[in-house]
This record gives sequence, C-alpha cells and structure tokens, in this order.
Amino acid sequence: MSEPDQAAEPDDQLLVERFAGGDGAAFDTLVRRYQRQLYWLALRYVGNDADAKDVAQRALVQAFTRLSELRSGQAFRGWVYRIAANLALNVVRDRKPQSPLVDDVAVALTREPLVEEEAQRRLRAAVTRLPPKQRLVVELRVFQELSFAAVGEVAECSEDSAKVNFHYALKKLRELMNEDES
Amino acid sequence: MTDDEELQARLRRLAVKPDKDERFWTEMAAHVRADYEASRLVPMRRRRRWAAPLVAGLAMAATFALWMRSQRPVVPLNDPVSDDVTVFDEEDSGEWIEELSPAQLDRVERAFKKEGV
Repeated sequence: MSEPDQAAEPDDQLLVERFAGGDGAAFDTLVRRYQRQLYWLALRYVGNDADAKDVAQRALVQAFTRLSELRSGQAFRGWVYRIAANLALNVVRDRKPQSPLVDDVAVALTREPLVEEEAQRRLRAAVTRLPPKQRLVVELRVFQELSFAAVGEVAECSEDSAKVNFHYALKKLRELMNEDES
Repeated sequence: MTDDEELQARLRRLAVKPDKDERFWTEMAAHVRADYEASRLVPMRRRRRWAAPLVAGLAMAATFALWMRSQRPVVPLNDPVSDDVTVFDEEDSGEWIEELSPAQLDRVERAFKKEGV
C-alpha cells in the first residue's frame, strides 16, 4: 500500500491543524507525504513528465490555499487527490490535438515483450476513455493501491459505491477494448 | 479479455511509477512552497489594485463636495449686523420669511431687537 505510514508520523488532521496554526514544518510534511502519489496519478492522466510535475505542484498549492474550504483535516488526502485529478483532466482537455506528446508512460511500457505491448497499449487507451469517475476509481484502486474505503473518500462516494463503480469500470474497459479490436 | 482478475493484473502492469531521485522530489517540494508563498501575496496585490481607484474616487467625490459647498451662498456669521432692515412690502410676507436661513432669521430678529421694535 502506498498510503502514508500513519503510525510513524502525525496524521493529516494534526498536520493540517498545525499548518493552520502557522507551522511551516507541517506544510513540508504534507507535501512530502503526497507529492509522489500525486505526480504518478497526474502522469497517467497527462502522459508526460513536465505536465505531471506541474499538475502535482499546482494541486498541492491549491489544496493549501483553499484549505479553509476543507471540512476536516482528515479529508485532506481525498481533497488533494480530487484537485490533482481535475487539474490533470483539464490539461488533457485543453491539449491541442496536433501537439506532439512525449508519452513518458508509453516509453516506460515499451519494456513489455512485443506480443503483450499491443494489448497493453489498447488497455491503456481504453483507460483514458473511461468516464471520469470510473477512471478515477480505477486509478486509485489499481494504480494507487488504495482500499475501497479510501477510494470512496477520494471519489466522494460510499465504499460500496466505489466497488460498484470499479466493477462497471472493468466492464466498460472490456467493451472499449473489444471495440478497439474489431 | 478474460476475467476481472486477469484484467486487473494487466492494469497493474500499467502502473508505471517512474523512479525519480531524491533531488527531483526536493525541487518539487521547494517549488510548491515558493508557489504557495507567491499565491498568498496575490490577494494583497488584488487589494492594492482595488485601493488605488477607490482612493481616487473618494478624492474626486470629496473635491466635488467641497466645490459645491463653496458655490453655496453662505451668510458670514462674523459680519456686523446691518442697520438696514428689509421692509417687506408684500401683504403676506410669510412665504419669504420661510425661505430665510436660520442664520438670516437670527440676524433679522437681532435687527428688530436693536431697533426696539
């Protein structure tokens, strides 16, 4: 699991409270805790290193500047993940179709055996075509390895609803891959 | 594509997490802090942007008010009361008296007293 080690470090709620009280170290701890996950999440959406880094940075900055909107410090993780996912979706939507994309994820995937490469490419393309909420659930469950309870927290739905969304996402992926194949 | 298990296994293989050195993360954290500090200054700048036109507007309004006040005929209160008394020829001078300012009425009253009327 990539979830933060809550035993070794203070939990998000405490850090958010400390930050609100002017503790700069709490800010740094929260940034360090989430920057990797946010970068990797953004990278799968936007496909290149520069945009992913930018999205992760902006998500963290927005999370802190709009912290007064957060109902509880415990919800910080879901809050910052949602901001990152939305920013990444905006980047993808705003991208000009003709602009060349240096796809760092695809480059990494070329390590796959050639036989598998095409199937994986189609699967990856299918993931990008999922409805936003289903995609977010897949990203969080499979790639971020979060529990369904945590996925629900981020996606603002119940644990059961997260499971149902995940099930539908897998079904949709199969359909999209079949479409691509035919 | 077969069952859910295989599909999830394939998805997990897409879970690319490029290995970045510690310097990359340190730089990112520094950028986040710098951007956050910069974003905190934006509202102050915005306030300053609003302040200039507001102050200018208030200054113009104050100047206009002072100018209007200077145009209004005001009876100088320190002037000596004239011995001349205006005699109203009209039969009904009530409406004229009503149009006098309190200061003018006061002067009229004092003039009448001086004359022992």
